[in-house]
Amino acid sequence: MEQQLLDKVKTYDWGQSRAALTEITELIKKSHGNKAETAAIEKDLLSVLTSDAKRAGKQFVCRQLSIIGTDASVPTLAGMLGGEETSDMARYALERIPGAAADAALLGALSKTGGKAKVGVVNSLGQRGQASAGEALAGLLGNSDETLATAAAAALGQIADDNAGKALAKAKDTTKGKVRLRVLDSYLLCADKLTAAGKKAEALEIYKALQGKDMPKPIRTAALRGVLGAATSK
Amino acid sequence: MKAHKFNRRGFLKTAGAVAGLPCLVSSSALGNSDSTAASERITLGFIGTGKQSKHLMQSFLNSPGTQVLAACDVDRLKLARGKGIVEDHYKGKGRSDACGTYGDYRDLLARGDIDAVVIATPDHWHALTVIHSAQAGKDIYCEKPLSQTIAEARAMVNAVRRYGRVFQVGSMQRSDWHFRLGCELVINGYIGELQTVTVGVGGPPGEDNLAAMPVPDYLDWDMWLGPALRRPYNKELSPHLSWDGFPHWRYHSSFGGGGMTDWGAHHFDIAQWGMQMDESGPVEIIPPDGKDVKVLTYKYASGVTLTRDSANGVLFTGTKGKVETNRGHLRTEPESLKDQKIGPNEVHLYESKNHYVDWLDAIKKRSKPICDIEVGCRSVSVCHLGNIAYKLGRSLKWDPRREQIIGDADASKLLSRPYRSPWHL
Repeated sequence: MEQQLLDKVKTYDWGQSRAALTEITELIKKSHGNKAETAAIEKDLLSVLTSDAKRAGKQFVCRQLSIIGTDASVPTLAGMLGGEETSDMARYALERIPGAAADAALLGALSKTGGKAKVGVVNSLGQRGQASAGEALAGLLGNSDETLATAAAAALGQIADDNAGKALAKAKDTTKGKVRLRVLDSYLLCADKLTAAGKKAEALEIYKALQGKDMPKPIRTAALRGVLGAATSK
Repeated sequence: MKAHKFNRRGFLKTAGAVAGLPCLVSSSALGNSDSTAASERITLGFIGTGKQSKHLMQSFLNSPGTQVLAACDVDRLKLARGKGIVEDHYKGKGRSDACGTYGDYRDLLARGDIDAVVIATPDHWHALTVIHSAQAGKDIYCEKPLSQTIAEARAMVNAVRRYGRVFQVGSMQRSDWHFRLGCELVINGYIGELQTVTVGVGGPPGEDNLAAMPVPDYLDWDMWLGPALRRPYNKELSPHLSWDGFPHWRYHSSFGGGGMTDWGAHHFDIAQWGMQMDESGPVEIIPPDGKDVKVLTYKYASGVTLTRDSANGVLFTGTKGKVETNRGHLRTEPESLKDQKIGPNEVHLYESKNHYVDWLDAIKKRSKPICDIEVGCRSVSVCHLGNIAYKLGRSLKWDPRREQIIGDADASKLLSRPYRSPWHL
C-alpha cells in the first residue's frame, strides 16, 4: 500500500474526505483470496494503530481488521484493550479474529483491565463462546460491580456448557436484583442448549428449578415453556 | 374457599406459557372497546418517541382497549413531545391520565403495570430493547427493519419465543390488501409458474463521514450510541425536534442498513411472502459486478430469481402474467387478474386490516400476529445478506436452514457485530 494512502488514514478525522479510506476498502476487496496481499495490507494497517493517528482513523482500521485480521494483528490489538479510547475498537476487531491467539489475548486481558474495558472483554469472551474463560467468568458472578457481574452471567449463558451451568446454578441462589435476572436467563439458555442436544432429563431439571415461587414471573413462564418444548422435541 | 378474580392483565401475565396454542378467551370477553374498563386495557410503554413514534402513538392511542402509561427517549425534547401527545389525547377524553417519562428504557421495563411496549428507536437499538423487553415479560411491537445483523435477529426470535411474548414487526404492508391479494394471485398460480421477483428499494448504507458537533444539552449522546462504536455527535444522526423528516441515521452503516433495510424490510418482505419463504430465504446472493451482473441478484432453491432493480414496489413475473404491487397499487397482466376472487379451496393468506389492531388482538388471544418475529427475521436477513454482498463485492452462498454463509469465513463475520461496552446481547 502506498505510504501516501496510509498517511491520509493517520490524519483522517470525522467529517473529512473518506477518499483514501474508500481506496483502502477497495484494495481489501480486490485482495480477497490472495493471502500474501491481504497480509501486506494487514501489516500496513497495523502501522496506523501504533502511530499517533486520530481515533477516527484507528477506528476505521479496526473495522477493516475485524474482517481481514489474523494472528498477526493480535499483539497490537491486545495492547489497546486497556485504553479508554481504544478498548472498544480493539475488541471490534479482536472479537471477530478466530483462533487461539485472540482467545488468549482476551482471557489475559481479564486480569489486566478494569471498568468498562473489562466489561467489554467479558462480553467478547461470551460472544466468542470461549469455554476456556468459564472459570474466570464464574469468579466474576459475585463481583460488587453489578455491570461486570451481569456481563459475566450473560457470557456464561452464551458459553452454556456443563461448567457454565454449574456456576449459574450456584449463582441463582447467591445473586440478587439485575445480576440474578441475568443469571436466571443464562441458566435457561443452558437448559435450552441441553434440550437441543437431546439431553432432556438434564434440561428438565433446570426448568424445574426455575419454576419455584421465588422466581420472577417471566422466568417461570419461560421455564414452563421450556418444559413444553422439551416434551415435544425429538 | 377464597375466590380468585380473573382479569385480562392476570391472563396476559400467565398466558405467555401457552402462546401459540388455540385461543381460550375471546377478545370481546377481554374488553375491546373504547369503554374498556381500566383493569382490562392493554397498557403500553413507548421506547423511542421520535418521528415514527408520533404516528405510532396516535395509532395506538386511537385503538380501542389500550392505555399508554409511559414513554422513554434519550432526547428530552422528543420525550416531552411524546408525553404531551399522550396526555393531550386523554385530556380530550376528559381524563387526566399521566404518561410517565424515562431516559433509560430499562427503567420503563421495570414497571410491572406495563403489559406491552412499542419500540421505535434507531435500528442499532432494536435487538437490545426487544430482548430486554421479552425478558421483562412484555409483548412487543417493534419497528422495521427488525435488526442490524442476522445474528441479532435470531437472538431476538429466541428471546421472544423463550419468554412466550407476542411480537409484531412494523412491516405494515402485510396489512394492506393490495399486497395480500397480489401475493395470493402469485401463490395460487394465476401468473403461471413464478420466475422472477423484482423489488424497488434504495441501496446499501454508506460509511460515516459526518463532522463532529457539540452535543445538545437535551440529548444523552452516549445512550443514543448504545452498542455502536463511539463517534462524535452530528445533527444528521439525531436532529432537533423541529426537523420533521425521518432522521438520516439509517443511511450510516453503524446505525442502519440504508435503503436496503429501510425499504427492504417492506418490499423484500412482500417478495418473501409471495414466494412463501417466510421461514426460509435465498441460497445465493450475487452483487452487481459492472459486467455480467447488473443488479443485486438472489437465487432461491425453487429456481426463482429475486433482484433489486427498477420496480414500482414489488413485481412478480410468471410464465403467464405479472403482478406488481405497492401501497395503494395493484397492476396485473392480464389486467383482469386484479379483480380475481380467490376461491374457498385456494390458498388464503393471513388477513389483517389494521397492523396495530392485529397485534392488540393477538395479545388478547396469545396468538401470532400477521408479521411475527420469525417473518421479520427472515425478511431482514434477505436485506442484510444483500448488504454483505455489496460490502464485500463478491457472491455468497447461504444455507437458509442453518442460517450460515457457506465457505466464506470473512463474510460470516458480518453476520454479527461486536458491541461497545457495556452492552451485550
